Amino acid sequence: MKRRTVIKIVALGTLASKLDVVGGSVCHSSADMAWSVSNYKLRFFTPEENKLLDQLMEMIIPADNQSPGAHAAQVSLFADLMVSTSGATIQGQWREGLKRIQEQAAKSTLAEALAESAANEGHATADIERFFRDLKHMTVNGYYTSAIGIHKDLQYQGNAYLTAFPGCTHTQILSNQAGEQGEKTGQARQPKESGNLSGQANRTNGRRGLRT
Amino acid sequence: MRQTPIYDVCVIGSGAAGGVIAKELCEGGAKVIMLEAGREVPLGKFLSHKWPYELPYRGLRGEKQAPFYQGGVSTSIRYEDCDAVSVDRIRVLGGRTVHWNAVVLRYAERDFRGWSMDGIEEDWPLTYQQLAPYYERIEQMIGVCGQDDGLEIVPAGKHYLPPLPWRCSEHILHRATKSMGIPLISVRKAVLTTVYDSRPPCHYCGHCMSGCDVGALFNSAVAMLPKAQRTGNFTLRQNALAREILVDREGLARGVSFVDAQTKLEQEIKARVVVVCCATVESARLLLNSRSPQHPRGLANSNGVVGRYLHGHLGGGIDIYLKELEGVSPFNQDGATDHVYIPRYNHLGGKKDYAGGWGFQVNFSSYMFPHHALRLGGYGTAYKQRVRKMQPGYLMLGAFGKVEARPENCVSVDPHKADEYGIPIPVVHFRFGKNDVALWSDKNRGLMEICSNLQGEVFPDFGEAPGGFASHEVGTIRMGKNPKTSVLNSFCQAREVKNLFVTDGSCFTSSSEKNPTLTIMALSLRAADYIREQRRKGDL
Repeated sequence: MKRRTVIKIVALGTLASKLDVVGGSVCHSSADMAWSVSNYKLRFFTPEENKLLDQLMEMIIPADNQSPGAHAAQVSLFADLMVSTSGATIQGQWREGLKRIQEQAAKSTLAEALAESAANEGHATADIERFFRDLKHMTVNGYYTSAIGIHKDLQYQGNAYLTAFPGCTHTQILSNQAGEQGEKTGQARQPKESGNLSGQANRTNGRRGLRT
Repeated sequence: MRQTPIYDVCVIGSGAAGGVIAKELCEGGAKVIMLEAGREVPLGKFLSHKWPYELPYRGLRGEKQAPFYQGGVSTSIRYEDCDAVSVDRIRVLGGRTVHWNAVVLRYAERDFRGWSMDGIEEDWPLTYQQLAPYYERIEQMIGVCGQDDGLEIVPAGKHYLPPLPWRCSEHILHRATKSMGIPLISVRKAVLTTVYDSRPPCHYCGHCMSGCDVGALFNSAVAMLPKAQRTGNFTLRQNALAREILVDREGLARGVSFVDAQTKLEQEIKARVVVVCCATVESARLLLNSRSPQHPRGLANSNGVVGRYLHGHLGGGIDIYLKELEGVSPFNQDGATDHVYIPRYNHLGGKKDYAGGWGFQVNFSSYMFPHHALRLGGYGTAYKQRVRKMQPGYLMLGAFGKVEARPENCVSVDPHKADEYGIPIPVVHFRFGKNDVALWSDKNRGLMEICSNLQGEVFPDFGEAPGGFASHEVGTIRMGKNPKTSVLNSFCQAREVKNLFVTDGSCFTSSSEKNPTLTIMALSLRAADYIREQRRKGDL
């Protein structure tokens, strides 16, 4: 079903135009929201910094036999946009982090400098370790929201207009299934007291999607 | 000079509560004016289907939802002496029904009887049996998919649209919960799975939380307000920020003064009845800002209860990447966000050392972004391939737990700090109590226990302490049996101001673990019936 068809079913237009609106006009600030990298000009990083950042990001998410990596996805330009619209403290951390990596790389190689910064990833305390964490998050956020990350690497199939949702079609999983959808679940017995809270529990609650 | 019209009813707010009550009253013949602080965003302008790379910050700064948060509404608030909670204030025609997951669950009989069941809080001034016919009516009015699962903890209605088909991960989860004796049911959502009430069915894009661009998800602006309009009795005034409810010499409501968001000019409308549906924080703010010699502490607030008993849901969930689905070819799992629900089950094993429970909503987080990529260690080719391989096995459980209604948690207003329209801003004070923390810990234990019955990589996401409110804040203008500890009677009518009604979540006496919206709409229907009856008798 095409989007247009779907909308036609209800012919929902602008509600306010149909309603008896007293006072107040309807205005929409629908400025062009599309963001394109084709003629993007650096806003924060210098061309040298951008080049270094691009190399580091490609090392974090490189091209492989499935898809191009962070370089092709131009993730460093996304980083430039995000950092250029952040506060001075964050901007300073990026500039300083790149400088530190550069200094380390001068003593050995860029690969070794990156590996060193990543050595303590789970418990980052030193500035350079925190920089790696920020660098990796930025790379992940930029790459997996790019057309390459979404379509070529993950081959995401959604964001579509479907006429029906098939549910699970993997027969192996369905045949492993003890019960079936639609049965009455009935009264349950109390689950066993077990399990503990070890493991990572270091994220906050108010995260994405906590809203229904 | 033109005579200012006197409306029968002024409804403030166009969300779940306002939409339902305005439609009902208009259909009953009342002349209704609705004040909405925001303005309409037509469905055609929704950004739901935009790809991240079509948005300026890839959607990471909330660009898809930003058009619904108009006029600096998100920043004109202060949190003081607060745990990790946030309230979700929106400003758009349709209120929060414009983007929500639309899980609609009836409260169970026990959920209205906190004091009798567990010895905390108070019983509501009405019972499940009294509200059941309204639940039935509202479910039919809005269209709900799901089924009757025969569980007392989630009472079912008689009319459901076909349930949403389960995804693979949900079948796998069901296998685990079944082995543990924990019920798992098809979710009940105000999402159409067939054409219903001239609205089209869901197209399974997973964008409920960004707004449904065809109106298959219940949206008050799409499903209720046009019906009100058809009666010829409805007037909509957008961009109207209610500043104060005005009273007459006897202290009864006589109208509302509001600020036009665009001209910033102050205006007044006159009405015989005022219904407040601005959502929990804003409704309390409005009453507290409505001070007069007749109501020096704020409207209907001689006992000081308005603004108190603020509560909501505590959260915290878990991401699991199921081994069984690792490395399978990518397939479209979007659906209609949640398809299954794990209702409260902790009451089945007898008394706990805390009151209340939790339910798990499942898979309401996006499938587009690999959330685990931010949490897996390492980098390079092996890391990238690991991310890709794990992605099809994504399963997430999000808990919604009861929070106790306590008088010390409250919304107040700061008379010295105004928003850009000159209206004093709300200030939120909230601390979780002992019962909340005990429940939260046991909920986390339960979550890990379910995970121990699943094969896969687990990423807990519940932090070091409870957080809230999951957009489910309630309780600040509560109904109750005791006039000393409540503001409203069971019809959402203010005891001190008989032509003032409050039918949004602020009227809740207490909260269960269930999402509040269906109960808000059922209470609004019941209040509408009552207002019609009282008007017929000439009492209003």
